Amino acid sequence: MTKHYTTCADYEALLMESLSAPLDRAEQALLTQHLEQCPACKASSVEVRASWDMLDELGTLEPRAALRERTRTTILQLMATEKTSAVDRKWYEVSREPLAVLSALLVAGATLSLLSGLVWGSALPQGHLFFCAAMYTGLLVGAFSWIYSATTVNGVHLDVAARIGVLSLAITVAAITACPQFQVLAVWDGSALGRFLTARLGAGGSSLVFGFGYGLFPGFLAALFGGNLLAERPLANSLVTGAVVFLLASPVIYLQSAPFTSGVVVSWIAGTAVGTLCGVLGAVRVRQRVADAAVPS
Amino acid sequence: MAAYQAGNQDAFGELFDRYAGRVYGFLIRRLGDAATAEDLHQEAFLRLHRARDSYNPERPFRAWLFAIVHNLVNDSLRSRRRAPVTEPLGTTSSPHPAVQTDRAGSINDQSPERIVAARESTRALSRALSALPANEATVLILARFEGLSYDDIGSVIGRSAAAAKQLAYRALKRVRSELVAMGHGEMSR
Ligand SMILES: [Zn+2]
Repeated sequence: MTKHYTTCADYEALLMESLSAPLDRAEQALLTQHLEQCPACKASSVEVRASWDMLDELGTLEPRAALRERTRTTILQLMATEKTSAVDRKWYEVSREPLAVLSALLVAGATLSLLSGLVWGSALPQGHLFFCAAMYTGLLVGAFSWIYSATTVNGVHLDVAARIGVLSLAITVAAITACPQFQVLAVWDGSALGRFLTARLGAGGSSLVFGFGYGLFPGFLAALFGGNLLAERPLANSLVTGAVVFLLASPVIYLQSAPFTSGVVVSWIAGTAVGTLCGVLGAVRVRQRVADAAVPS
Repeated sequence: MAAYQAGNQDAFGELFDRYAGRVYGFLIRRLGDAATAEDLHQEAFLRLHRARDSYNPERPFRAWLFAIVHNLVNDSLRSRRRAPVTEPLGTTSSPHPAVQTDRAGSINDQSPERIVAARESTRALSRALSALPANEATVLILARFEGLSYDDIGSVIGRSAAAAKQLAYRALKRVRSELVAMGHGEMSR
């Protein structure tokens, strides 16, 4: 099965493969033929092969026995303590995670204050609404505690993403409490750019663009500073990070959605989802670039 | 690995015996410095231990392991670069003038100086290797010494197999010109 080789870069890749393992006859013939015809590749291939062969001089390396033992003992001791503490540790012991407790309280307070307004301002039976409020609060508290106590999912450290979400929620709650008329989307709509976009794209289009920016920045920041292992499985891990940031941004949108039509709010949410994803993927790209360029000092 | 994830110490011991040397070899080649490699050896296994639940058994273990070690090295170099004291590379060596400037000619002959100067060229080689940009160094070490496939190497650095090959190619060219600049170009076959 021969692939298609057209550019010099294709042959460079083929040359690299040939260094690791012998090529099949057809591919070897193609490579030889190209090297005969292309002086630039020919010269480079000689250099590359020479480097590859020279690296042979760096034979196998083994750690000192003392180092080996030190590392082994460290991990084994850690495993032993984990085994005993796993027995002690109870599922409800959230107090080990002060941030989890703090954010859970914050979310619970915000949700309760929000829902109490709904309860007394609504025509629905109060018992029904209280039940919903309790359930919603419980779910959020549970989610936040879990997010903080589980530091990694799929190799991604979620604490940064969660912290950004809680921070933006806290800012919004504070802003709404201090100034009930404050709506970030209304500020946008009043700005020159917002007015321009509303004239061009309508209210929905404008809030879509706003939502994009609204998701882009937290997504970007969370992925840039979160997860040292983000490089390992960039796509899967970006999706996890993006989903968490989005989930955390959505109550903030909900808190501010009151004066707008559902069409505008849906555009806002859709824009935020896309923006978050773009932000996260952009940050992963930046991380890759930085890693590529990093030269040890 | 599944037994290790469940907390089995013997399973860890087995895994450690198999990979302790490989991790050390990677670290020392990547860093070119035994002291730092020794410091990071324990840290690498600590990170592996902390991340063990995120291991996906459908993926090759070595790719996962080296992704952790690769990130560890990057983090450590980054924090060291932030620290004020850094010594420039290559200050202790006195470079020899390149004997032959005709590269294509010099590479193809088996020169007797090669054996005599072997030790010195080894040092130059390890210095050139550790001075490569992060991803290039990792790719080259994994391809040359660990025999990882380019698909796996790509997943270590979060890039495609094609990108990994390109990085390895660039790395080899860079090593070559680095050696020539240090006066070891004539040592190769
Ligand atoms: Zn060519």
